[in-house]
Amino acid sequence: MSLQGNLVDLPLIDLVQVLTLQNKTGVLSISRDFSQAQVAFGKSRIYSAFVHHNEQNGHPVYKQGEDALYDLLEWPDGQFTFELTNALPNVENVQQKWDYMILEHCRRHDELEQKQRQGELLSSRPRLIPNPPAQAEITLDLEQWRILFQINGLLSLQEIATNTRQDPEEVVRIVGKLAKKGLIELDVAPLPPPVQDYAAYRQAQPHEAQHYSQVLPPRQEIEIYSRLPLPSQEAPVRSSYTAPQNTPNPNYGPTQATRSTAGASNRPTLPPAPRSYPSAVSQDFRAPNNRVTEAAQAFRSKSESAVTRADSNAKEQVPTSAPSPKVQRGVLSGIMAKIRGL
Amino acid sequence: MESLKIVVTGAYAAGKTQFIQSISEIEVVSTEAGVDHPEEIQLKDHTTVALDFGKITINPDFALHLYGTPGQERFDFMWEILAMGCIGYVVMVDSTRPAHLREAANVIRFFTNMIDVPFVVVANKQDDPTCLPTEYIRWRLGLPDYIPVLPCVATDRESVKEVLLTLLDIIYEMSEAAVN
Repeated sequence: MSLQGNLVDLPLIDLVQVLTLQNKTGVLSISRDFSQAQVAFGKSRIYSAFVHHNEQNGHPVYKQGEDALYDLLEWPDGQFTFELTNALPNVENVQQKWDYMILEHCRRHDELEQKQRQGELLSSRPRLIPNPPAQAEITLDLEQWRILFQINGLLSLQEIATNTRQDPEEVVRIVGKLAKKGLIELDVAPLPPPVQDYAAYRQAQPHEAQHYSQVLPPRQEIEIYSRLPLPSQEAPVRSSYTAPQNTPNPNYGPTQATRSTAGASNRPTLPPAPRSYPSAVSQDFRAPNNRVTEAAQAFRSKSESAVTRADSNAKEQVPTSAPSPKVQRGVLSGIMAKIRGL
Repeated sequence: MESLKIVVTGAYAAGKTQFIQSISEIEVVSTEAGVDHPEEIQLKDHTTVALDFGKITINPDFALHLYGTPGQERFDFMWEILAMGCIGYVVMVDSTRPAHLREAANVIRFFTNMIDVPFVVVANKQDDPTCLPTEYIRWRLGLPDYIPVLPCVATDRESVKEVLLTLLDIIYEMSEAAVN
């Protein structure tokens, strides 16, 4: 038997899955430009792999084993031929499972993108914003001050890291915080938010969006709410909240009580909650006050009107034969009855 | 056998695997690997890298499948795969680690941008004396009142049942509204 084709039509991931699931023994040969590869299959798994690049910076490059397979996973195209044969190479150089290698390949890709992104950031030259947006309070710690002091629109982040003797990763992290506070700006285009990645998906699933619009808030509303200004007055976060202090919660029965008692001896005693938190901490841990409550009410009424609008739009647009994700109520009742009985 | 899918998601070490283990009638199919990240290893030594799978058989023809997602954002390509076709999802939040609420907010944002199905937020580890109250978690995550934030102890089956029943109630009501 011989199987021929191109990786464009049948990617390597699918090809390997087919050959291993079918328990084929043979050799897969792939060629692309000046590169050749051979992957041997046996015992429902990959037995060995070799890649040979004839011209890369003028020198031939050989790879074998898992490295060769990671290299192969990067090939966007290539002519392949699979020949059934029992004459496998003597060398068995692939030990890892294919599933693991796919995950590892994804992880490497992810890390590479992060490094590229960080490389871009390190070469960027941040600038101070002359008129930062009005905020109730801006709190900077010592490290943030050190970095902010260096920012002049001329020094790159790499140079700032050298000047301050800081780890470049740490400088990137601190600069991100300063940018979030609205104090500086970078000359690197920010990453697109996830919503753009899934815009196409949501457009392809209009029924779902309309079907569930009655109870879920519009996505932008959540974004807007999370950006509401923090309260201007500091309030202790736990002043009205008393920790259970190992008291068994009646809602959780004997299991919880046993666990709390068992863990109590190992747990350190908590210090009493302070009356007010230091300003550096309070930025992140403020409790809501009236201003936020009012904002929440405004948000609620605004989103309810948005839901009403979405509802009327949905009634106009959705055909009566409609929504695909509709779940039968009888089925749901059965599931709930089963769970109650567990 | 037909099935419906519910996804259990949340930030790293929020208790997703434990949540599924407490309710699943089968031994949870788990893809765990050793943790090597210096910060993550302080919380636990093994983590989910692909998915957790649990099952509740309703009758011989029907089952409810529970899928747990990996917590780290570097595995977010799995979130999309697992979320496809689910009827609702549970967002687990560790009530004892306020620093991780930001990650939980990112997870909620990611999922709400990706799929329009009902969800509940679960404030896990409520048996810990240092846990934050649910109302505080609601406020920090910027959630409106009509999205439930439920107290939970993922090791307690009764607590997990309450969460699933609340989510299914919401799906039921919406299904009823869709029919009407």
